[in-house]
This record gives sequence, structure tokens and C-alpha cells, in this order.
Amino acid sequence: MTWGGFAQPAWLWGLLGLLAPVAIHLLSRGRHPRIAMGSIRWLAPAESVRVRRVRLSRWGLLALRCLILALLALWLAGPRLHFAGPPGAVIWVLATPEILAERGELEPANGAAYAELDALVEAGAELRALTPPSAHAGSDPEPATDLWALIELADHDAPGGVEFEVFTLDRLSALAGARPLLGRPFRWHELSDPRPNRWLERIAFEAGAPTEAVIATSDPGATVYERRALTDGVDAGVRIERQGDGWRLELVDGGSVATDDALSLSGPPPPLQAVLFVEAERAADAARVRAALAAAAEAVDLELEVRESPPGTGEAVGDAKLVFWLTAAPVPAAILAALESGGLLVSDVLDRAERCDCWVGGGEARLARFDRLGPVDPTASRPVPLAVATGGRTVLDAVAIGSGRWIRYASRFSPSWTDWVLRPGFPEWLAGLVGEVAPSGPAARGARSDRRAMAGEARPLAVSAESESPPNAAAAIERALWLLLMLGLLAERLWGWRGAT
Amino acid sequence: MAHAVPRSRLLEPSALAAIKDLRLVARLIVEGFLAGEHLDRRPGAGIEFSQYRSYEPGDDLRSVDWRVYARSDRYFVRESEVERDITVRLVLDATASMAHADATLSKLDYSRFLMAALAYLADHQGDRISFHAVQDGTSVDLPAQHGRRSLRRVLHRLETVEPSGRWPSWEELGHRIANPRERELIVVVSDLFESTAEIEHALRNLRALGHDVLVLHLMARNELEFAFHGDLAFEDLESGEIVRGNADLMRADYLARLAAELERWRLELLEAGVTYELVAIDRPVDAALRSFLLRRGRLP
Repeated sequence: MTWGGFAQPAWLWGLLGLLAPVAIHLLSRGRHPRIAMGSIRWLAPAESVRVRRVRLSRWGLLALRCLILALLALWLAGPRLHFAGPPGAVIWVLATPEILAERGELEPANGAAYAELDALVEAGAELRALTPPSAHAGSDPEPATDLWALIELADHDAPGGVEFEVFTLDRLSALAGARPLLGRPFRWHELSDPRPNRWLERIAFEAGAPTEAVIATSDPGATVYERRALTDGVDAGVRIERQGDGWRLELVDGGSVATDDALSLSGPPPPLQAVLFVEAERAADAARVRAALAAAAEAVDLELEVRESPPGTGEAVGDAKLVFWLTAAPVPAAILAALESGGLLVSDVLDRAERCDCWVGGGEARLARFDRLGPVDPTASRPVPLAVATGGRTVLDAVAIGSGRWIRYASRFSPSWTDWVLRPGFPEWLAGLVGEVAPSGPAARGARSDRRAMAGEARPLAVSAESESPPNAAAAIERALWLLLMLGLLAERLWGWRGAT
Repeated sequence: MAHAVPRSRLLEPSALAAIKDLRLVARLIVEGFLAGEHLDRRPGAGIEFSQYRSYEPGDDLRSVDWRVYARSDRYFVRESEVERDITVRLVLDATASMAHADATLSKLDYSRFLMAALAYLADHQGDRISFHAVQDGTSVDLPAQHGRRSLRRVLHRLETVEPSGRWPSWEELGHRIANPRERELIVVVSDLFESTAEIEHALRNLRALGHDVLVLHLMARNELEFAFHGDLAFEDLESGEIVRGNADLMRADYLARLAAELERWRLELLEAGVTYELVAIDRPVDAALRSFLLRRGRLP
């Protein structure tokens, strides 16, 4: 077992913090107020011992406090120990299943990598396929579902001293989780996959049937996205089948990765319906809101149906879950009742506006400037402020109506009142609202299974080039340091308490 | 309307400290004190008339005032105060430890008031006053004298004396303060801080010479109660030694040792026949004056 350095050596600068308690101790020693006594004859014999005890106690306390700081710095720095393996490093060759199963197709472009893999195995290295644990017993390796998780699992399972040689394709499929932090040395071999891969990136529906597909094609050069119109049956290279209430779409020529070729959808999501109750003179505001709503729906990949209705026409909300009330009239009770089961009502003010040279947000993060602000309905109970202008006035708040919400805007959705409607933040905010009331439906996106663009950058993180302790040993050291730190803090408090009493 | 300040308030040491004129201080103290006290006046055959009283059998016929008899046809005896020629020797401990202060008043400041009051009182009673400021190195010795001039000299010396040094040995001090030819009232004002029992030795020797010795032991309130807190450095005013420590931790031992020391002094001086009075310097000087008068009254 040898010293393996620190995971975060910068924390060792924290040891300079030891100077603080020493300085405080020395300063406090010199700062004792001096009392002139007629005689210390009754102090000297009794207190020479006591003073020594006090001084020793102080030095002990100082040492304890220094120890606590040192332990804290060490704990944060993360010391590593190297557990030396048997003579000659033990090597595990970790290969993704495609490397082993599709060698015939990949080897012409990666001859050197395969030669190195073979040499390692011949030298005694243990060859392991990066497959889920359930697939270990099987003879036919399955494709990795999450490469990062599998590498981390192998790191956890491998005894101390084992080094990794990882062979993977540059497509790096199924990188779903966070990159692992490995506590052992490893070498990363990225094999080029010359075969193009195609997958269904996204499906668009109309009237309950798929009408359009975005097909991604990736090769070592780039990834290209192509939009194709769909009809029933095989068209544009996509086989479309009814599957119960939903659909199954499959690429006829999917390329090198078979698992991302098919997409099963239970059915298209119903379009989100929105109603704008707008006065005639605010047609321009309504057009602006409609445009922002369309952008928001596009951003969240949702079909949106927007209709406009003048107020005073019965206020039929229907199935709409998103209602804009851009009129001077009070909100009818029928609308509030219709949204109680869930939905959003958005209203703005139309009168009694005040000049207001104020902003939402501050500094660089200013979101919008407001030239006029009006009062929101004060009768509503328990409004939750969503945005507050400089000066403290609430610009945007929300009131619960059943399981729905009423969002009240203290200005107008008009550029003459605020520049918010002109900023990108406005459709982004609407996208959040649309997402909130979006009808649940099948995901219309395919799995992103090819990340060649990340090749060369996506690889596990090593603790350091030289650190070699297995993660478990490192964790044990950290736990021991943490325990010592806690004990030190407890002792310091007990010491201080005893001194105070 | 101006409010009169009660005289008792003026006798508080803190009030006296504001008065620069030591003579005025002494007068305030003594007159305030005498307002409730009876001086020791013994009727007898002196020169100064005191009172008449009826003749009683056994009275000296020479004391009968015949002129009064001629007028009233009754025997009256003319009485005069007895003249007693007493020397009051005031010995002030002016060592460095007397600079110990409680709030703004040091033991030496208090000693000045006390000594001034004693001198004033002694002068008021017609005694001879002698004064000694005791410290090693320099010496202040005023021989015993009658009269206002003597009082002024004492007050002047009291105003100028500064604390320094330690209590000298008996060999150095004895010939200055001890008068073997006459019995005297010796008033020692001291904090009794000594290094090798030199004060105790001096007091015993004075007593052995037949003098009446009154010791007024001055202690500051913060010494008596050790009213200090936290981490402090205590500096000995005489030796310069420093002891550091936490006052709260020191208090119990200190108070126990102090109590033992005070009790030792009391018993030692009682055994030696010395009148001992512990005086806290935040208290009025009445008790000290009362002890002085009581001790003086016992003299023949």
C-alpha cells in the first residue's frame, strides 16, 4: 500500500487556516488585561499551579482546534492510497458488446485497436463485455443500456490494483447518466464505426395519425436530420403499423444500431386548446400573444389550437385548458368554474395604470422593463407572487382556482406597456404554461442513440493520472477522516463547555 | 431652590476624593463625625473652666468657688477639664502596595483622608501630633508638636507623599518612630502587605515599648471580594511579579487564603495587645475615628 496523492489537492491550501487559531491564541495571550494588585501573595502560591493548568488547557485546546482544521482540509482534499496489486498489473479489458459481436465489420477500420485488444488478452488480461449484470450469464451479450453505469459498476467490482482497458465505439450509444469518476488508471480506446446509423428522431401527428418524421442519419462525418412526410404503410423508408390504439413506426434501413430503429407510440397527443377573449381594439395584443403561444407550443413539441372570442359571447371555454382574458370586463364565474378541474387563466389589467419605471429582475439578469403597472384584483385570496418589480410591487401573481390557476399580470401584454412581450423570455414563459397544461400523450421523440459528435470528449473522469486506489478504499479513508473530524468537534465543544463552567 | 447636600454624603470617600484641600477634607470628616459623638473630656483640676456642680462630701475644698457661695449661699465646685498631654504618632504605610486602587480611589488616597482626619481630631483635642510616612529609601518624619502649625505640616506632607518601595526593617525604622521615654498613641495605617513579617515585628516592638498601638488595616473592596472576571494578568505593585490566570477560577482559593490571612492578623495583633481595625476603603472613615477616640480615651 503506497501513498496515492489527493483527489482535490487544492483543498490542502486550507491547511494555511491553521495559522488562524494560532494567531488568535497568541494574540489573546498578550491581550490579558493587567490588574495592579497590592500583593499577589494570595494568588501566587495557589494560582501558579492553576495558571499552568489553564495554559496547558489552552495549548491543548489550540492543538485540538488545529487538528480539526487539518482533518477538515484532509477530508476535503480526499487522500488516496494505492493498493499494489500482484506483480505485473492485472488488467481488465472492458469492451462494449458491439466491439465483440460486430468485429468483422469494425475491424477493417480499427485494425490497430483490435490488435491491441488481442495482445492484452494474450498477455493474460481478462476480457469482459460491458453488459448489464443480468446478461453476464448469457452467451449472447446484449447492447449496453448505460455505458457510464456499466463502467462504474465494473470499477466497483474490480479489486484493488486492477487496471482498465476500455474499448468502445465512437457512437457512444446510451450515454444516459453522469460520467463516472474512476479511482483507478484506465486507458480509453475509441473505435471508429464507419457504418452510418439512422434513427427516428421525432414524429409529428395530425388528426391522430403520424404525418411527418424527422430521421437522423449519423456517420463518422456528421449527423444529418431529414424531415419526411408519412402516410400509411411503408413510405419514405418508414414502416407504419397500427398497434392497438397507437402506432409502431420502424425504419426500413436503420443502420448499424438496430435498437433505435423502431418507435412505438400509444397514440398522438391531443392538441392543446387555448382561447383568447380579446376586445376588438386589442387585436394587435392578441396577435402577439398568439404568435408567442405558437412558438411556445413548438418549443415543447405540442400541437396547439388557438381560437379567439370576443367577450360577452357566452364565454364558452369548452375543452380549452389555457384561457387568456384580455378585456376590461371582470372574469365571468363560468370561466373560473370551467378551469377549476385544471387549467390556466391568464389575465392582464386594462385601466388605472400608473407610470412605473421599473424592472423585473436586477443587474444583468433584468428580464423586462415596465412603463406602466396597474393593480391586480385585490379580492383574490392568497395570491402567490411570481415576479416582483424593483420597488417591491408584484408584477405577476397566481391564485388557485380549484386545481387550476389564475395568473394575473399587473401590466398589459402590449409593447406600449412593457417590453416583456418583445423579449424571448415571453414565449419561454408561455412554453412553461403550455407544458403545465399540456395533455398527456405518448412521447413523440425517439431515443437519441448516436453521439458521435461527442467522440473524443466523452469518457470517464479519472481521479488523477497517478491515483490508483480503488473507490472503496478511498471511501473508507474519507469515512475515517469524517469520523475523526466529528469526534474532534465533539471534544472541542466538551472542552470549551468544561472550561466555561 | 438649592438643595443642601447631606453632610453624611460628603463623608463618603468618593465625595472626599473630589475635594483638593486636604484640610477641608479633614475638617469635613471630623466635624461631621463629631456631630454625633461625645469627645473625651474628663472633668478635673485643670485651668480651663468646664462647669459648676454641687459640692459633695469628699470634694477638695480648694475647688469650692467661694464667690458663688457668697452670692448664693450654696457650695458649688468649679470644675475644669483635665489637661492630658498625649502624643499621637501617625504612621502611614507609604509603600508601593498602597497604590492599589478600587475604582478611582487608591489606598493611599484614602489614607490621606484618614490621616488628615486623625490629625485634625488630635489637634482638636489638644494632642501633640507626630507623622511618619514609612517606605524604604526616603523618609518623612515630623516630630511631635502642638498647635495648628503642626497640623499644617502634617497635611502638607500627606498631600505630597507618593507610594514607593517596601516597608523597611525594624533596624531602619525603629529609631524613627519609637520613643522609649513616653507612652504614646501610635496609629498605623497600612495594608499590612509585608514580605518577611517586618510589619508584624515593628508592631510587636512598639507594643513592647509600652505604646498604645492602633492598626487600621486598609483593604480595597475588589481585594476583599476579588471582583475580577475573565483572563487577567495580576501585577504585584511591590515586587513587579505577574500572575496570569482566569479570575473566576482563582476566586475561591484567593478568598479562602485572604480570610485566613485576615484572621491571622487579627489573632496575632490581639495577642500582642494591638487594637486592630479592618477598614474597607469604600466606607466612610467614622469607624476608624471611633476606634481612635476609644483607644485615646483609655490613655491616662
